[in-house]
Amino acid sequence: MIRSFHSEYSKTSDMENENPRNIARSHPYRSPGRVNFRITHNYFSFSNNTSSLFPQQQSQPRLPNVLKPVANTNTGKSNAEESFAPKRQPFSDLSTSSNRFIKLPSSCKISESAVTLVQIQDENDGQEPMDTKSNSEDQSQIQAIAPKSSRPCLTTFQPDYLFDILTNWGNIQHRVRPRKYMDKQKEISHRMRSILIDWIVEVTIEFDCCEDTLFLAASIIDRFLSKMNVPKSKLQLIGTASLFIACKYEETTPPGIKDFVYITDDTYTKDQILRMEQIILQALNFDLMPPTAYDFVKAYCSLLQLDNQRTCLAIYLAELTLIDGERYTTILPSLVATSAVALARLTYQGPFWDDSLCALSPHIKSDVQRCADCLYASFYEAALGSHKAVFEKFKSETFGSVSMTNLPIKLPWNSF
Amino acid sequence: MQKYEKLEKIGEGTYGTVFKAKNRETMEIVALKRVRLDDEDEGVPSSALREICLLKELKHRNIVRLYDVLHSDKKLTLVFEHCDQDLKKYFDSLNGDIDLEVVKSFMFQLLRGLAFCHGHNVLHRDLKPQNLLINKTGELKLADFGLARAFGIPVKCYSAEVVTLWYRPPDVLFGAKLYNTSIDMWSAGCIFAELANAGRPLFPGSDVDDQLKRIFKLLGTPTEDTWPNHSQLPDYKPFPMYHATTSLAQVVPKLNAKGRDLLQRLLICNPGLRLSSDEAMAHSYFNDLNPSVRNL
Repeated sequence: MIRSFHSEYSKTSDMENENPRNIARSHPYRSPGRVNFRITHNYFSFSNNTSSLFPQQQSQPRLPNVLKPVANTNTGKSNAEESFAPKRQPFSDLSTSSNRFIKLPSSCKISESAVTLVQIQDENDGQEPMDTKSNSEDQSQIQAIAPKSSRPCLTTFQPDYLFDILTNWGNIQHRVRPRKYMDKQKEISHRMRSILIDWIVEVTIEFDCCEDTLFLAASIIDRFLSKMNVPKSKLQLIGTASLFIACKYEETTPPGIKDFVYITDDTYTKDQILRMEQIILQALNFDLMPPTAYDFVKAYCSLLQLDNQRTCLAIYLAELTLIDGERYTTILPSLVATSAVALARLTYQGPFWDDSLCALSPHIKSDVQRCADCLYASFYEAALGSHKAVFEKFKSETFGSVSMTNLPIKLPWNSF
Repeated sequence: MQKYEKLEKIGEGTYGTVFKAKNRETMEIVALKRVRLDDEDEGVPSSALREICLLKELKHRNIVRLYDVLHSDKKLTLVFEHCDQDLKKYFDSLNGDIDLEVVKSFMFQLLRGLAFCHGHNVLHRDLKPQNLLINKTGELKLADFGLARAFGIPVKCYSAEVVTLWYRPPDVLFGAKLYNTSIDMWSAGCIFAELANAGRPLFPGSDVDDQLKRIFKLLGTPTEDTWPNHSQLPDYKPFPMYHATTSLAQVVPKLNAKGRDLLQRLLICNPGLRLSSDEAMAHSYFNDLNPSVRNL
């Protein structure tokens, strides 16, 4: 049963590699020859030895000898859940000196416009004529700010707002942080959650959703599961409804309810999804504003002026954390983001930790290192693990093929 | 719903009907915005979803307070604080004469509410007199966040189909999808002029072209020098080269020189050069603001 899903799975992956973002929204979902994303009930029946069903990937990143992927799970868990308790360096201190932003050392000067993140895919698609407009629009905004004062033109924003926003995000994430819920769940497990998220990743690719939507959907799922005991048969419904909500919140033109019924292969009816939407919104008390790790990654990367490759790697590392609930559910998004950005810089011969990152992040170096250890393990497990949607997604050139790069052989603070 | 006694219909929002109602227990007057779900095939409308989520985070004296959300099978009821009237209705009652102290007070409160939104990464995207509520005590509050949305750092592209035509900035009129907090600052500028003229809209265009023409006739057609690369915006079309001949003194005769300077700095076609709300609040026009307004 699972094999049949995974043969579909590998087909879709090929398609993604051609160009995942070019799937037009208007494309009829049921057109003949279209790769089918529907997932049947079988998807949610769990087998104990799925690992043997996976063909070995031909193109895996080289695995350093020092790392034994399986062994990490347990240590990773205890690290993640015990030692990442928020040792917060007062975040508000950052905003008191409004000049902080200007002090970014010149070492992180990479002359990429701060807004390039939006255009990553266009640039690599080879469709030049299309994006000149938006590019020039970016430039116009950036140049335009310049004469106003001598402040560096990192983004189209006033620095005051930037720090207000970062401080505010730092506070909100504590309030809505998911609990360590899986022990309390009777029927579902981390493995089932991973399968669910893996599927959500595929659906967001199919629907051409933005990254924000994916991260928000995952956040909604975790916060809902922190509050409600969920039977196995309803897990996919919760995932679907969470994504439905996230799309309505984030997307300019969200897919319709019919599309969501379709992706579950009519497992659930329209009414079931709509009712679950209400249940989730009530349980979460309409808290959809919380920042996700993606929000922080984007902010840090643009403020540090990291280039596309580094930004993509940081996003990839952050996105991998969505899959592994056991390790990461309770870790604060800003810590995941700081570690992802730090590790991405280190990978491309940059500093892991320096004053500029320290100024932006509310976390201390030792926490960031511990989280980076987890990310490092997750990175190398991604190619071997059973939930490969994120790994496959970031193999594409759109994302700089970052899932195929090599992280440093070892992390400087670990003496093996 | 037994908790509230409906008193009268106030109006229609972006979605759903708004009623004035009384809390039976506390006797407090509230505004109820009702969103029907049964004829909504798509569940909770995204405008309602965003309005609720955003307003929950925006607790400020110059932003209308969302007290509660009542959820039932067929409808969603948003319970708001009640204000006496909106700015549009206030204008209608003025007969063309407005106290300049009131102009200054309202403008300051508008900017203060806006600064709070922008500091909490929210764009309002539909500022206009109808969406500004005022109280007998002279308080002004931003309302109707049905078109608002949260933005990230850096901003990404959002819909260009935002803001009521008369208050829409030239970059968005040219189809710009990448905009930031400056989108609301243009609307604030238009409202400032409208306040100073006791309710006469500044740019009452009939369509996009007419709107741009009215803007450029007053401010001058932008050039590549004043606004680099604007000709590459999606819906750009060339306009005759108007020069900014009419001075603002003729447009807003009652406003003093400092007020005209502030208006001038808000109504800048190039979005990157427009003042931010914090900068506008620090403008010397507000130096002699009545201290009671700052504490209001």
